[in-house]
Amino acid sequence: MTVWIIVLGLIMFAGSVVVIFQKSIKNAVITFGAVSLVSALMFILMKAYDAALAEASIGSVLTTAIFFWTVRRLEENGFNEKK
Amino acid sequence: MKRNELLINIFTIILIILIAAIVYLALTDSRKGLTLFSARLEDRVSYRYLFKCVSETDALKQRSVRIGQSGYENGAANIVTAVIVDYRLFDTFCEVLILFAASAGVTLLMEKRKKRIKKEAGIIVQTAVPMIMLFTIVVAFYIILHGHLSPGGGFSGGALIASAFILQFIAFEKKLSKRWFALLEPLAGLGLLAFGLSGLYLRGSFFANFLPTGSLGATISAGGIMIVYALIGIKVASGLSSISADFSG
Repeated sequence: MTVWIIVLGLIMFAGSVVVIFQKSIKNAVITFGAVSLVSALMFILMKAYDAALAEASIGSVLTTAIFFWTVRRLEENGFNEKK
Repeated sequence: MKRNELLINIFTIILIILIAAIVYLALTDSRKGLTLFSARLEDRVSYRYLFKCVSETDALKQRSVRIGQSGYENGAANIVTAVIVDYRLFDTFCEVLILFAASAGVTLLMEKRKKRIKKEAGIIVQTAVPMIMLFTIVVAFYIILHGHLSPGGGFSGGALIASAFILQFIAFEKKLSKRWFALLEPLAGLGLLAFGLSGLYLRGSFFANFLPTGSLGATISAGGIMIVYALIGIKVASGLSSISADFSG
């Protein structure tokens, strides 16, 4: 159990480093959602099921969707990340 | 301009002194002075409460609580729920008020998209999303209504309902009207306030659990916890859905 928690924590650490050094915004947002999904898995391993549910629905659905809607609004107003 | 700033600073200092006095009074036991690290735990609610144990075999036989017994101060089998929704309900109420302030601020600041680029979702997404929404909402209702028996409760279930609505906002251009969310959220908050005031009227303290507690482990037990969690679920779901509706459209 402890080994799995450590492995998941290392995956979360690597994912958060990847989020910072990502070139494209959309890839960074998707990696961020995956990191919070892994953290929900870690909450399940630690037997905190209510925190896992809240993390899975808020961290990986609501935050990702809000970031994507923001990117869409930016693109509609002429923002282009390649420039 | 400068005089106003001075007045604001004086007012802030008075407010901070007042809050410090309130905190000092709350931390002292029976006016003997500050007993932050030497307070007797037997005088606090937590000692009476947190020894509740639902398992069949435990070492503390004298204080053990079994499923099916009745007559407790709070009949919730889930200790976390009993603390969040009964003993510390004032805290939860203010958290819900913060959520209301956040969603009201987003509604105030966000405007409608002007240059719309329409991109419809594919047929696979549009077929799958209603089924996933149905399952998610059923699971969310189970989590909300069993908040006093199993892990989870109003916050988790409300966030699940909100994520179901987010899936709908992603897949379809036509949306539910924002007016429903704006109507439901203050109504649920007023319901919470009415629960607190009726507790004050019937039992003498704000947010007192005035309904009969029933037997431990039954579906309808633990007094008003089910009502409060249903109201919190409606409020969280409508608040998060209104935030995401503002962002999406």
